[in-house]
Amino acid sequence: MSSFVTFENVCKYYQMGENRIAAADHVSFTIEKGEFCVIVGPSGAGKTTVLNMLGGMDTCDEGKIWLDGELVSSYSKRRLTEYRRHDVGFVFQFYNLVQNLTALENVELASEICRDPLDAATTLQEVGLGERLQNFPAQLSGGEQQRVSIARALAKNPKILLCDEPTGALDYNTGKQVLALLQDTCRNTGRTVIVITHNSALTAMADRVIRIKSGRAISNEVNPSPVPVERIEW
Amino acid sequence: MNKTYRKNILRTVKSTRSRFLSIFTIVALGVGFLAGLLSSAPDMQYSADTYCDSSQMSDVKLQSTLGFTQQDVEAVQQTDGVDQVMAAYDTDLLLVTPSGETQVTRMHSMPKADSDTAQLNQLTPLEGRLPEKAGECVVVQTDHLAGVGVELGDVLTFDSANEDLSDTFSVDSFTVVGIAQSAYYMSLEKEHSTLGSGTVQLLCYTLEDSFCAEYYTALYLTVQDAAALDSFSDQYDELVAQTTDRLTQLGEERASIRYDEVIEEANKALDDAQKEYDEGKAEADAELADALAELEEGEADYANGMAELADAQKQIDDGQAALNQNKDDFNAQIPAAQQALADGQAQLDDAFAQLADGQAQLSDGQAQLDDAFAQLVEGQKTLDESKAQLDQTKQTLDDSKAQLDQTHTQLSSLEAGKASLFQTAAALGISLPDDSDATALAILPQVIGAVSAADPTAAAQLQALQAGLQALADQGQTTQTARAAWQSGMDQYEAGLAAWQQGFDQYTAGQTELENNRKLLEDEQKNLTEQQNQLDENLALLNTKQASLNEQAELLNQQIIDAHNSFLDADKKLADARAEYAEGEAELADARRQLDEGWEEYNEGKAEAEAELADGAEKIADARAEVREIENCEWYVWDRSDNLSFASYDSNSEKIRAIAQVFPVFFFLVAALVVLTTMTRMVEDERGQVGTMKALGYSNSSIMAKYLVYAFAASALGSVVGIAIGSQLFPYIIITAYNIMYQIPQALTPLNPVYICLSSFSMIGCSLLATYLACRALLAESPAQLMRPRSPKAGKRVFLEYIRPVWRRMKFTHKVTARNLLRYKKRFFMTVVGIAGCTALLVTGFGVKDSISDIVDIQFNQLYSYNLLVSLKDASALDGAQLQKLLADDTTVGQWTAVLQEDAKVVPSGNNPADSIYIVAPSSTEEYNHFFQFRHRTDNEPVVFDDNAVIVNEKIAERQGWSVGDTITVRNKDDKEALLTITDICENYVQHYVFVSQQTYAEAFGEEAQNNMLLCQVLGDQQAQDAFASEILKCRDIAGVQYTQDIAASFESSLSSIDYIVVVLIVSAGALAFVVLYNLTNINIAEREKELATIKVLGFYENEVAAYIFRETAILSLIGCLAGLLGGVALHQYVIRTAEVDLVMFGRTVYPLSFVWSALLTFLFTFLVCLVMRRKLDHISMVDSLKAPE
Repeated sequence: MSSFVTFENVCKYYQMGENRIAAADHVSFTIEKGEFCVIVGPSGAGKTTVLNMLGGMDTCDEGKIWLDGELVSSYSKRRLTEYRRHDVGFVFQFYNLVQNLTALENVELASEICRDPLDAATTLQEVGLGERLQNFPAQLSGGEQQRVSIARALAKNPKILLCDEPTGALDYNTGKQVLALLQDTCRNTGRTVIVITHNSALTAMADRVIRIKSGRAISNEVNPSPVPVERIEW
Repeated sequence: MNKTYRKNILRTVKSTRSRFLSIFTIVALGVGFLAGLLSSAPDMQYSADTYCDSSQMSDVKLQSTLGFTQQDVEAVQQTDGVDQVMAAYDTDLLLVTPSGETQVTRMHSMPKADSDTAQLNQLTPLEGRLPEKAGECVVVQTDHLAGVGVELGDVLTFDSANEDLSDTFSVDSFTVVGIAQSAYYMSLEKEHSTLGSGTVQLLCYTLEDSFCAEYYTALYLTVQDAAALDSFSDQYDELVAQTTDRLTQLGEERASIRYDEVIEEANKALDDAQKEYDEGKAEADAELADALAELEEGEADYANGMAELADAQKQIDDGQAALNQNKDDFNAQIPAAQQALADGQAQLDDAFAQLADGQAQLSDGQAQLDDAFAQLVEGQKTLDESKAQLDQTKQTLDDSKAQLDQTHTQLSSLEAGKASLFQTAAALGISLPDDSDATALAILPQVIGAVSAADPTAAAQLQALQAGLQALADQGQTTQTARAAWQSGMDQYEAGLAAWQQGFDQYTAGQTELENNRKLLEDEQKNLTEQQNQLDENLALLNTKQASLNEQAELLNQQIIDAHNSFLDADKKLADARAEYAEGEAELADARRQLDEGWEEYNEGKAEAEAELADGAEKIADARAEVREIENCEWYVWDRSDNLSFASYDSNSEKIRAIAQVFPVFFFLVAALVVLTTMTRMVEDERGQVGTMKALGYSNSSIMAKYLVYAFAASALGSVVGIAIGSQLFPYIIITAYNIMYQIPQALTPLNPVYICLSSFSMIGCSLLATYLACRALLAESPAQLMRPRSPKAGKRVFLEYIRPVWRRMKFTHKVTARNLLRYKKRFFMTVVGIAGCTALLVTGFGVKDSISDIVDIQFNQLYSYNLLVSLKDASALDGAQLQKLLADDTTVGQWTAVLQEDAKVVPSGNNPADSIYIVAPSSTEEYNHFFQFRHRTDNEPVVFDDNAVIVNEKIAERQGWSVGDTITVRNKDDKEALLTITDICENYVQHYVFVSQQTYAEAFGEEAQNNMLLCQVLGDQQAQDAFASEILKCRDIAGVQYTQDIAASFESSLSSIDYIVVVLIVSAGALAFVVLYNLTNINIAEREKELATIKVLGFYENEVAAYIFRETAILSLIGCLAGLLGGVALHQYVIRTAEVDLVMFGRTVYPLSFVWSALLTFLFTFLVCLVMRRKLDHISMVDSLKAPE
């Protein structure tokens, strides 16, 4: 188990009335440390389910999940909370900022509870929001909010950054900027970043591309020559 | 509204069950509480009124100081407005129960069931039946009755302490035939009596026939058309007042007529009394003379007795002497007779001894003889034995003889054969060497062979010879030896026979000798027997002699015993005679003593009779004075408000009404707030759906209709259930609680349409309005706006952030809490108001209890320091010697003082009520300070009461708006008005008072203050106090006594019922608090699900998530609770002032502990709600919550 992230025959079922639907059906893949990984697939393919299980928001029904040598799939509820608290950074499609807190405070909300946080203000500066520390989410644009969201994830100094359709609610250019930020973060800090998207065009920028379809990982390819996001058009 | 739309509504109800239920519950609670409590007072009154009407309770009661005549009754009947009149004899008397206790009893008369007179104040029998003849009574069931212990069949007898009742009752005891309820006495209030301890303990009804009084003591009557009205209503009061006014007028006319009659009668009675006195005096004199004569007779009898006694003594002495003589004689005769007897006995004993000797000799002889016989027998035996031996020898001899004979025969035959053989052989020519056997044998076969052919017979004989010889030869013998042997045997036999013959001869000789001896012995035996017979004859003779001697001895003994007995008899007779004598002596001594006593008694009686007569003379003089002073006849007109139990019920129901008006309204408001919040939240929730409907082309009104229908359904259902339960349950609980004190057979809880409509319509209206407002705001937006998620409410800085030092020091999560609290202002407001409301209700509930529990203790134990009130008919009663004596006894009475306490009216300024007030003017202001604690309520500072002071109590000052320095006008009993300037206001809870000195009174009213009341501090236990009370009542001019503890107890019991209401309030407030908190927290969580999911994703522990949200709840509860504590004080003040009866001031303070309890309960509910909600928090799914956009 030398890989940083390993999924081994992971299954997740949902009970829909009388039918049991497999959201993840024996998914297996590996991701190496420091990679920028894109998980791509059509909507409903089970990408988010995979991400949720990796992020400790959900548990798997079968199979094993390793992260950095730890068997995450065996964690208790309490241990999962700790895992989310210290090891995982999340970025959501709809940012999920606390409306009642300023940008800085939203970042602090996360950084204040973990072991070895980065400075909240610095992190915000790094994502380019040094001027907007005291603004409330409602006063920020979508891209800015998503950057606050990224800063919030980064400030926790997590082992892995998980992004669920981070550009889904953003316009083309803003989306690009956000993706550039994520790619830079990966390159500059060596942090493993996993991005979920339905947009296959983004695979070009990834070190590794995992394709998911109908709950199965149909391919796991290493991209030998990733291109910067600025050069990708879609 | 189309089908799909209706389906939509139904589905919404189904899918939001908990929301529907929470609106339903809060509406049910609010409406139920409001409708229920509002209905309580009317239902109480309705129940009582129905009871009064059904038992034909009188509206008015007339009493007169001098009673009513038949003419009075007719005059009343003629009065306008009077419907039915029932004349009655009501008398207070002391009755003794079978257990021996004396009870102050009010005995009412009632007409016979079949009489055609009016039947008012009908009784409802609970046990037994109503009286059917004189001497039977029913007892009214009161809560006190159980303690009295009167049961069916008990006979109640008149107590000897009663004054003469023979003019009043035609019977002298009452049999209890039933126990009944009476609307006239719904409870046993402290009905005043002039008897016993001053309070009526037992209420009874008996037939008119049990009375024989000349005049009626009370008239009960009903007013025309009054039954149709509610007895508690103003219309009723007005209607009855018209009639009572007329009756008061009539009373004045009739009273003067009656007065004249009575005076005349009294004078006549007085004359009778005088005559009686004179007769009594004559009688007493005669009785004294009789007594003297009797005594003298007694003296004579005594002397006679003494003489008789002396005689008896002489007789006894004579008897003793005669007896002694007899004894001496007897003692002399006895020894000689005894000696003769002893001699005879000695002779007899000698003879017996000789006889015994002879007998002994005889016995020896017999023994020898027996020995000889024994020897004889022995000899015989020896002889018999030798005979047997001889016989045996003879037998042996005979046997050997027979054998010898046989041998001889055989030998002879052999020898003959041998001879024949030799002959034959010779014949045959056979040579014969010799004639031996051996030769014979040797030739035999030869011979046989020779003869066998010719003579077989001879051959056979020869063969036999051969066999015999052979046999002999075999034995080693020959015929010769055999013959020699036979010869020697024969010789032995001869010798044996000779020996036997000799033995036999010896035996025969022995036998003969033995026979001779036997004959000799038998002769001797005969001789001995003869001698024995002789001896026996002698013995018989001696025994006869002994018997005769014994007889003589016995005779002598008998004589001695007889003599002794006769002496004992004589002794006893003498002793008896002496005892009798002693008795006689004692009797005489007794007689002496009695005589002495008799003399003494006579002297005393004489003195007493003289004293009594003197007394009687004085009493007649007194009575004359009294007749001169007979007060003017006066009629009293009492309506139902003067009926103590009715009035107390009335005031209690009014208290309930007052409380009911405040509490539920508050409750109701909180419920309305909750509905508003919930509906607003619901409309907000369905924002997207509203947008969609709008986009589909539904009109605003039909979209709104859904929510209106939803709100209507929930609140209407809630109202129906709330009313169904509340309007029945609350009145029922309250009436039942009050029925502990009041005997009202049925708790009637009719539906009160007014209150039902009021509470349900307003609640339904509130929720519809809330829904309408929420929808209107939403519908104003365009469909596109609606379908987009509502733009999140921007975060805002709160004022706290500008206080940098504080803000900087706050923990991050606390900052969030602070922002959130202030961000959702509506919820903040709702929660604070809701919780404040509950806390206020709790504070009020506890506070009402505090206020009520206070007053009895403060009033009767702290303010009053006397325990007995004695009302005087006249100030001169104080001079009564008996009273003075009682009061001077330090062991029963501590301090006492005399005061004037007078009923008066306030002459109000402006619109204030004309309150009743007592003027208290003590004979010494300084002394009075020891009986009443003058102080301010608020700070306990003493209030100065001196000769110049005018002090009023707090409550009247409050009612009239008086303050220190104000001049007030008071009108006293004699209608004189006085102006008084208030110098201070004091603490007091029961009744209204103005305290002045008697000087001030005299100056202000222009007449002297006449003491009419004694305040005493009676010592000792209950029994001692009761005894003192009845002693006091016997004194002259005492109108009545009342112990403050009785008043206190009556108060306490009337107030204690409020406890139940307090419990109802506290429980309801608790329920409300829970529902409000649950609802609001629920909404809070639902609205912020996404935010909570986010912080969960960020890795907040469960406790941190809970703290994140519950910190807000806790702070809101705290703020609400503090506001509630403050509001509670105000609400408590309001409730207390509203609930107070006019004459009573409740405690105004809430105890600190009540605040603590209220706060604790509020926090307990908060905690419980948090506990429930905690589970809900845990169930928030991160995955699901974060899916959708905000």
